Amino acid sequence: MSRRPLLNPRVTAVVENEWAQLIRNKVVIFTTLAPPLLLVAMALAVLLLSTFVDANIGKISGPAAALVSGQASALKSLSGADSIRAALLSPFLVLFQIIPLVVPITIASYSIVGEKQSRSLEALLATPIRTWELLLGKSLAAAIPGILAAWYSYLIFAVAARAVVSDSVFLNVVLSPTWLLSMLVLAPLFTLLAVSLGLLISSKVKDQQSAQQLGSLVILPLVGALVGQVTGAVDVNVGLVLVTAIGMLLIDAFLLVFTIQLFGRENILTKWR
Amino acid sequence: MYSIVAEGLGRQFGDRWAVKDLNLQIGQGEVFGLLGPNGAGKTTTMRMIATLIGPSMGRAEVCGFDVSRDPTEVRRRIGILTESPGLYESLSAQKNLEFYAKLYGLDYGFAQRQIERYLRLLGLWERRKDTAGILSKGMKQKLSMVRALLHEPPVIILDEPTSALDPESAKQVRDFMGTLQSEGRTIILCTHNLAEAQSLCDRVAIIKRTLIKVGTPRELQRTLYGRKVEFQVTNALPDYGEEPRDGAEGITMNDLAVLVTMTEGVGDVAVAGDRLLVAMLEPDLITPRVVRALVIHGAELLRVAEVEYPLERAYLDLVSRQEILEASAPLSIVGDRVPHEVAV
Repeated sequence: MSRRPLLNPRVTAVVENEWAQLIRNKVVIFTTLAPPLLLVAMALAVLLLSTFVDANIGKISGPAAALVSGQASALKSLSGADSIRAALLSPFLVLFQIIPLVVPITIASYSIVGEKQSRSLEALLATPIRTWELLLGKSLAAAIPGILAAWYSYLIFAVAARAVVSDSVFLNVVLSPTWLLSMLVLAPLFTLLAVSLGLLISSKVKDQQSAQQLGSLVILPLVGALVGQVTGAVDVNVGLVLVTAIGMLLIDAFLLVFTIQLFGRENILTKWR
Repeated sequence: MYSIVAEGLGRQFGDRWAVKDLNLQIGQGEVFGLLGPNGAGKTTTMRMIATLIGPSMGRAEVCGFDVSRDPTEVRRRIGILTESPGLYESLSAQKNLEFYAKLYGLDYGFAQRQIERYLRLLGLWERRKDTAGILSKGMKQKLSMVRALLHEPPVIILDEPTSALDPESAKQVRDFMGTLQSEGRTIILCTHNLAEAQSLCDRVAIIKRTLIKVGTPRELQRTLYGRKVEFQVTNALPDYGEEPRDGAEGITMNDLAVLVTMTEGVGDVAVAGDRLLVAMLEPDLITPRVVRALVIHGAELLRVAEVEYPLERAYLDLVSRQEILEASAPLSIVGDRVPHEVAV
């Protein structure tokens, strides 16, 4: 008895085809890999910097006090030096969420714009591939690298942090429920958002640069959240992450329905230019 | 048996009908030409048959499957060569084909054999590892033709298949189309190359938003111009006022024309130099009578042949007639709503 393949073969074919093209495009490779590499490098630099914090600090005053005041309430029980280290590392909770946004949006926008530029959509849509299979294949091709890049970045950061910071900082910051929930739940939801937005944007623009420029706007709310976190205006905790996740789920569902409608064969051939 | 049937097929974009009320029946193994000026609706018709866009009116069937109800079954049975090759330029020729083989659900071994077979047939096997981007226009065109054939479709739609090709490659593709036809496949050929359509197509349809005329190239010419047989005479005197030719005897071309007119079944007769152009309804029956009459009266015949007009002339006449019709009744095409619209 023959086994059914795990994934629809046409979806797999689309994913493989996307990746085969992706690895041959230096611009896309660079714009895809640069943000996670930069963020990981920044995170490692900050980790290194945190080793210079004087372990004997008992009470915090001056500019350091302002920095620590922005921490999540759960971290305020840490000692003076550890609370500074925690304050230095905490922004990466938000910064790492940039990766699942930026990577998929770059790939997804290239995916559709590339088809438009090579005028390959007509031949592609004349095959028995169903619209949902094409859409799923393209989405997976963009989402998988996005999620993997986010998780690998976090993993590298966590391994490096384990070697550098104290157990209390490691458990209360890097492995805290807030961080784990963010990386395991919020990051995939951000990826879905980025894929949908990437597909939507690229259906309306003619070239990859325009798609990327428009797509980069999606990180603005995260920049706002980062500023809020650093200044203490936003307390990033499990509750906030859950509320954000529910909100993202609703937005993702809406965008998914909208994107499927946009990707009707008719629309692609008669309205996409 | 018909491979393709279109009944009252039409497609509206906004207020404008790109194609309207098109009726076609294309037989299995037929090479069918779709001719028309730019914007006549050839591509829209082709796209509706290929299930790329849905009809706004009427219906179409491919190999017995309705394009609106069973689009996936139709797609399995169609191979399409689009106007632009639409290849993935960063991938090799082989990778391009392997991707499409997977989309058509071909098993790996069969796909590899098909790829080799068609690449060899079209002279591209040695270039299979080259990226599509570095291939010449003609090679890209041939590669996209291979792509359309991998799954052995019974119906093939070719949009300007030789437009980017040099004469040698164009001939190769035309010969290849003959091979496909001999395998019993139905081919729809959209082209502006009327000589090509005349030589390749069993029948042609001339469309301009709606069907103007359909038939064999010869039928179109006969419908427009009737049938005429040309008799070239070597020994008749020229018409009145012209100098006699060497060896000419006492009979003139005008005498012969009058003689031919009296033959039963003959229509108008015209003299053009040393040739008589004789209109007749049934050349197979009437031509021997005319030959006999001419020979009996001393005419020496060098050549007797039915006049063939190029398809181009019939095409241009039909299209210009349609333009005159449209100019006199503009509302019949533009902005006209049809009561039995079908949802897309």
